[in-house]
Amino acid sequence: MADTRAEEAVSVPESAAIQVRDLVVNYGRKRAVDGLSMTVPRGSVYGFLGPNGAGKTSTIKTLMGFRKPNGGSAKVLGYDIVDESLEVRARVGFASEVNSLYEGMTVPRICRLCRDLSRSWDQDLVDRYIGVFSLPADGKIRKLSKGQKAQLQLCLALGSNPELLILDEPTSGLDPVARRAFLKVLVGEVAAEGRTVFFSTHLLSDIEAVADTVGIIKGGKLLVSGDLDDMRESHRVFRIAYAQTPPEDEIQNLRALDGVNEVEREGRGVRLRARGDVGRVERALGDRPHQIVDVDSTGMTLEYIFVAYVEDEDGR
Amino acid sequence: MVAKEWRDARWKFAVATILVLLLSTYLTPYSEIVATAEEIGGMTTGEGRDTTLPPPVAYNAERMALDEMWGFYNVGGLVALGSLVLGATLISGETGSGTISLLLSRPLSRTRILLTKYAVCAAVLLTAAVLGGVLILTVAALRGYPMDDVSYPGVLLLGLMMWLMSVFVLGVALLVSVFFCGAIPSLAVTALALLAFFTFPENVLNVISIVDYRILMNSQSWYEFFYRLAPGPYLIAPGVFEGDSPGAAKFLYWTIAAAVPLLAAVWIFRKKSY
Repeated sequence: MADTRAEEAVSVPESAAIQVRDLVVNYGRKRAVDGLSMTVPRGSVYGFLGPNGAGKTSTIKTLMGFRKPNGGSAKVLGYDIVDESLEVRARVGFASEVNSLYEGMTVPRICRLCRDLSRSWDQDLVDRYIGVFSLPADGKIRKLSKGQKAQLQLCLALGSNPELLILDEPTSGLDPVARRAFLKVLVGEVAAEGRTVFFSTHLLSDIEAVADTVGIIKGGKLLVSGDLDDMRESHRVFRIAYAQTPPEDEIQNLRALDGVNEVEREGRGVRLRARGDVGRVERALGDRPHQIVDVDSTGMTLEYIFVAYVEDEDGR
Repeated sequence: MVAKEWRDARWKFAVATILVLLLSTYLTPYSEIVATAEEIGGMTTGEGRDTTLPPPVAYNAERMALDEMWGFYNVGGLVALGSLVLGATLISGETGSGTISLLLSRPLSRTRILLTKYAVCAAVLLTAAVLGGVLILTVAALRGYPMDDVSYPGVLLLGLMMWLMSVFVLGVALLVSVFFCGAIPSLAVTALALLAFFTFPENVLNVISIVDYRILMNSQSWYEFFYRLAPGPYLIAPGVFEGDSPGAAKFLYWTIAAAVPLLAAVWIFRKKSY
């Protein structure tokens, strides 16, 4: 049975660039996005992280109006993605991992085409970014490298002076040097101008390099979303050194603590992964029946956080 | 967008124009037609004479010249072929190369994208049809044809009909190109679809007769209905060069035939996911 779009409108907070509620996207019988709800704050650099096939591209395509949702609703900059798709696209710059450039055109010609297709166009801005990336101003597009094409797509996405940039795996397939140059401009120039940047990636290094907010998606569902620093703070690894090897019941008791999601023996000690109210976990560790000689607490890396959520979702 | 579409279409237009110019050299000189008519006239006296046709029509050199010009209007077939090539890559080409993302991410409605592409191609085809018509008349005059026998309104109507037929082909190609990714599958399916259309209803009836010929015997009304829809009777005849009107029914048929695939393409393109 086909899903129907939720009739209730999404109320968008002033501070939200993107507000998604219960979004469902199907490819035939396969559900690519499964009741996704999330909020992207205005002015943020939001990294949309997920493994391949998690539903990132499907979500982005739906936000951009490339496909209609099978359920739920979403607003971009306050405009409904279905009923006001043209308004959305007038205010959003988009670039994808797929080369969407006309290979036979020159750089100035594709700029003119994009100008003709846009409601407003700031050629000075485009020229500035072409300069920042050192792209050949009159070059044929087919002669550009993959990295330069990605950079040109970003320049064209910025040409309409968008409030929001939506980038789908923008650095996918780029070599480390091109990726670094791309991200440097993204965070150093584009985000610094106050634009909201929403970009999907499966590369943790991209997120750590530029994002201030992150959402992790798996199986079409958002597993976690929030400020990256807060996320690191609320996800900690405790290394607990006991005076004597702790018995099995101690391990079980640690596992039963609120916020603890993994406990592993590590020599005479224990490595414990916790998320949420880690302060409570820390206090509980001070009150153990077995003698603890040392507790070392470190924030989880994004990779740890990502793996923890993805493995939890897999039921591991 | 129009500039971009014209840029995409212009090389195809240039190739078609060159082909039309080359084709024009094949128009037989009028003196040869007269000679042939005299020869046939001589041959057909006596036993070999075809008595079903009145001699003034059957062996009239002017008539043969007009038929020759009609044959030259294979330009129309060329225009239709051009429309197939133009239309089959309109959307499938963009999908295949990924450039559809560039168009869909801009504040343009899908209807506008599709109709702009279609309109540019239809305009190119109209120009080609007009050029073809003018070329026929010019070459015919240069080769000594008796132009007094040519009906200029007839040629105009013929050009218009040819254009309608070519935009029908364009519409079918466009419809197919909405479904497919890449030019080759789109071209192949369009060609097959057109073949199926122009051989209708014989193709359907043949299939049915292979399955069970009794179905046909028991479905006389369907049989007749199929034949009423068949394009054959609505194709243009050489008589238009002599002033025969192609007929309102033919115009209506090809107008509807041109509109249906276009409207279907717009409807599907608006709904399609990319």
